[in-house]
Amino acid sequence: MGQRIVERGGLGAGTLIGRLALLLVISGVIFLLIEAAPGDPLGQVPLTLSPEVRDRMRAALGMDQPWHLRYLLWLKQLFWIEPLHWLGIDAGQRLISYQSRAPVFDVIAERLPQTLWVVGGGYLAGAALALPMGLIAGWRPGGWLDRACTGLAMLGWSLPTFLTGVLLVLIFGVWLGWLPSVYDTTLRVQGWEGLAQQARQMVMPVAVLALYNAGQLSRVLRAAMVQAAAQDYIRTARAKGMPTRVVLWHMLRNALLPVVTVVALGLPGVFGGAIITEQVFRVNGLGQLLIGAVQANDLPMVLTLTFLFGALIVLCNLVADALYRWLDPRLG
Amino acid sequence: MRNVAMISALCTVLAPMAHAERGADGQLNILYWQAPSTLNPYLSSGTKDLEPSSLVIEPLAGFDEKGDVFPRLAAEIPSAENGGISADLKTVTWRLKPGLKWSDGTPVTSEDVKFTADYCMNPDGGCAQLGRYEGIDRVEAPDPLTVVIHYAAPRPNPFTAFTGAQSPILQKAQFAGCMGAAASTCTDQNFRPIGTGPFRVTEFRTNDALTLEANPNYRDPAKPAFATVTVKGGGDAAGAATAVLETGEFDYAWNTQVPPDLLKSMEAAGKGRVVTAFGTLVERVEMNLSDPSPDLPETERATIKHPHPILSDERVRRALSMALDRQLLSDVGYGPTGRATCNLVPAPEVFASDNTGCIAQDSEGAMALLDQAGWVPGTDGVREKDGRKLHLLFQTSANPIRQDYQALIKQWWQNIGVSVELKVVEPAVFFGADANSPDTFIRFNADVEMFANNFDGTDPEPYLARYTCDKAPSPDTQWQGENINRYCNAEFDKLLAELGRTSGVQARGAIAKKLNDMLTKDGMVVVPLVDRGRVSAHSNALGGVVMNAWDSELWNAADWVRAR
Amino acid sequence: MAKRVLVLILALMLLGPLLWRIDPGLLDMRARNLGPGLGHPLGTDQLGRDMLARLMAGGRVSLAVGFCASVLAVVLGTGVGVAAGWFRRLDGALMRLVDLFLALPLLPLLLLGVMLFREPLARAIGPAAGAFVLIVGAIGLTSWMQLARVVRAEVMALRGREFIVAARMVGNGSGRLIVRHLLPNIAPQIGVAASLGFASAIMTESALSFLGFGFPPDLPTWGRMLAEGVEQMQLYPARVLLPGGLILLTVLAVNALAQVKVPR
Repeated sequence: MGQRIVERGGLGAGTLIGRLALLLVISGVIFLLIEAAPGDPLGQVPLTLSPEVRDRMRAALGMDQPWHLRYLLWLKQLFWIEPLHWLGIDAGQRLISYQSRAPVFDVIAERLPQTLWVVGGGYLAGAALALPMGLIAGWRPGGWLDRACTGLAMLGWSLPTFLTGVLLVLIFGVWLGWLPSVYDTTLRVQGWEGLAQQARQMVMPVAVLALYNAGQLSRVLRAAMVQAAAQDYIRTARAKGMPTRVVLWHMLRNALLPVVTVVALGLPGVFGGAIITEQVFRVNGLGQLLIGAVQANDLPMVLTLTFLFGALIVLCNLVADALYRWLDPRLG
Repeated sequence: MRNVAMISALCTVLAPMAHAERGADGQLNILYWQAPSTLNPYLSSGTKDLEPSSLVIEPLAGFDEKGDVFPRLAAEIPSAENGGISADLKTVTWRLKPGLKWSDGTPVTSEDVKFTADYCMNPDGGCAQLGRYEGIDRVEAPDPLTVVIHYAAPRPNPFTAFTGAQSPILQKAQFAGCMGAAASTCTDQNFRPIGTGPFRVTEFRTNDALTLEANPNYRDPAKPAFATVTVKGGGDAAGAATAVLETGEFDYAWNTQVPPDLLKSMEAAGKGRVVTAFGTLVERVEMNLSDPSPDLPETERATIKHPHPILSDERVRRALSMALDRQLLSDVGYGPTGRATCNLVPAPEVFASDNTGCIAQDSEGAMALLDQAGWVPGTDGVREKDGRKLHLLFQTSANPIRQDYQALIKQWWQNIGVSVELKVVEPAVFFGADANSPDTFIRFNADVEMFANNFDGTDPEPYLARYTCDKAPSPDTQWQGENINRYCNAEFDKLLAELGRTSGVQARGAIAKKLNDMLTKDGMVVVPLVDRGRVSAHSNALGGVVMNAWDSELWNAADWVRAR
Repeated sequence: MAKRVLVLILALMLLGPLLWRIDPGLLDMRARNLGPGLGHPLGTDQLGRDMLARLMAGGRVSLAVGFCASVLAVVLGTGVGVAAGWFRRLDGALMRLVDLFLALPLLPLLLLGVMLFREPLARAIGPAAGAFVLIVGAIGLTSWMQLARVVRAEVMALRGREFIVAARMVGNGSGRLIVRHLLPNIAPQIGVAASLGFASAIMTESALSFLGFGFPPDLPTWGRMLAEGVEQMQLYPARVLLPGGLILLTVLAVNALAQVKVPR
């Protein structure tokens, strides 16, 4: 059994190539989906432009080419021109976004820092909040601590981020005036003052995301703890009066199994961004980039972002599998 | 005593002058909730792109808040009197102000102007502002300060090329390598154009933020008052209004189009003001004069071949218009930033017809008119004629205000016995020009549709020219064409041709008014609803803002100061 | 307690419209933005539509979306997870499927799917029903994979345990084993997933509404009303508190109920 898991999630070159093929298939599917969608990258230009001008603009974007040629061009640009460009060799036209005419990868690089600061911060804070909450709740299910934690988790869960976000802006931005409601992406973090400023503008979006993530994670952890507590050997250990610390560790090791899955699988989501929170606080991270590209039918941008996102998910799956084996020797 | 009073009066007058020194007022924060994606307006025609770019690059002339042309880089506005416009209306001569410098210190010459026209008119460039250079035969630069534009045909209104934020002058030295197909690859040039405006780019993050600093070579040494500017993007209109009117984090927010009562309550916080200016943007219902029935073959559906079975009758169109309460629509959707209108061309004044007959709602009259047209109430309350139900498909783009309008109009039409089916299309699809999509506003596979449109500059000729017979979309034209109503009236076409030959604002205005009335008051082909103003907000700490509906809103940013 | 709250909400949404017969789509321009009063117990919205009638109409749609989408996700997730964990032959193929779904960027696909299929579905079965099928399908089809992985891991862990081995040796078939011994043991996970799935579906629907990809405008849902109300939270807090409160209450009650159902 363990052998197969190693095979499936293993790090053999064969499987990696298989995964890469899978990603290619995915990119092809997405390309065709966007092609089939009835949108138009020029749907947002004003109506004052004449149809001839629109046609010329379309031709200038290369959109008058047949679809298979455009897909092949995208593949060439992604796997040949871009890597060469990073090595300092100019091999042709780089991947260009329809909206801004800027190289896709430059825009992505520009968006990465704020995405990691805010969405990553929200994820870490959420996980940090969820672990103790889930542990406390799962240790004595039904106790008042459990109820309090469960209530808090459900509150975090059942409030949409667009509501908590706007509410926080209203309280801390408008009424109290303590925190900025707009995230400044041009801020250079230099020295203590810059750091303090960065911290101040991160508080609200990170809090919104942390509440949401904590709600999700702590529920999974609690359920796993409850189940672990019911295992025979834990009950025996508890009955025999083993130190709480030791029992807790054993339970945790068991309970962490599903939690690790959820945490590792949720990690790519950090790079996918948090569309709504980003919009409310004007963080303009990768999530906003993606939704803007989808709305504008910016095909090169959507395709590249979704491809990178898929690659990241595949990578995190591999990591989750490895962690799994380490945590549960029965599987390894 | 009197002297003291005079001195103190003088002091108050001079006080703002005292710190009229470049860069003295520090940082200016501007919010464009739709973030700019490029600073080259020739590659994108969105307001969100060309307004921020107007801080950096400038045209020869601009439009002021009254819609009048005023010189920017030009020494004066060409006219017949000063010899700038030839007698045959085919040649326009511009003279540059002497001593102008780009922000990199090099001189501005007529070669730059000529280059700009060549850049946009290059057939492979996909220039978004090509319409502004329409009809130009060639541009010449006989000496460093003189530019001569030769038109192929008489040009009664020459203030399109090099006029307004849509056609600023680019620096030849910077953009020389970006002609034609290379235009898209010049990311650095498109994001950091060298200009003559009050500010120059320090950093541009596409669809996110733009930072600027005062241009050291700006022609007025005392301006701009601000040393640095940030133009931040993202979020939505309500959030933008909050950031200026409630938290005061930003000095200026563009397009704060939110429900009127909300805007009012935000303004009550006392941190800032809402400013409005009315241009030519009109929200309207358009009537389809061709039959959009899905039973027709795809090549004949919604074409002139098949007149609309219901809406071809002018009385039905008129009744539908009479059933509307435009004042209420304006109040619900736009409040002080909207005005009920019956005109397709609501401004400028010389072109605006005195047509207000449609403002008062008249459901009784509408019903009488429908009776007269032979549509009588059936058993279910829906009117019928010759076994056909008076049923209309009403489409528009997804947008909260439009959906409220749809619900209201549906109810009013139901009250006069018209059954209405609503349809909502994603804006990217609705306004897209994808010939294969059945749901674009051009294909018009519905009976009536609602959207807003306006025209560039102050002259409505190209706008009215959309409604000629030959501009009706059909499969033969790959469904391109601006006459979405499939309106065809020989008299209209004739009058429009006359407009093309007429010069002199008053005479042009008289003809334009007649054309406007033929489409609205007389024909009810276009049913205007609300004249929508531009609305933005600025904080009380920002002085000098003059709202402008004819050019970039940031047109006079060089004069903006920190109010103390 | 939880059960009572849930029954109350269900009764209000299902039976309420029989007693309170105002059409939720009726516009009354003379009664815009009213506070609570006799004619309109919960006031009216910006077009003079009755809030109580809208909340009831919206509740029915939201509850139906939550229920259908979570059932779809739980059935898919449990089915795939159990099959992969129990039948060795299927494991590889099924987990590839899970990987494929996990590697697909869901949100853009969700949006693309909504854009692509809204029109054909609306033409086929009407705008409201089309949107319902589309949104339930989109949410259900994109939220079963994590449960499948968790269930698979649980099943694999359980498979080697003494009581399962013993039950198998006594001669129980796979089907019987799964239903009698496996499913009850993974019930907590499924219960949590179902309740979270229910909540998540209601929330995803509201997020779609916020981004403009939700139900058609003349069809109210709690999520849509909440998303629309947020903008004017300061002026009309009731438009946020009412739908938001109902969502919160429903989610809490469903969750509490799920915990009661968990054995032990």
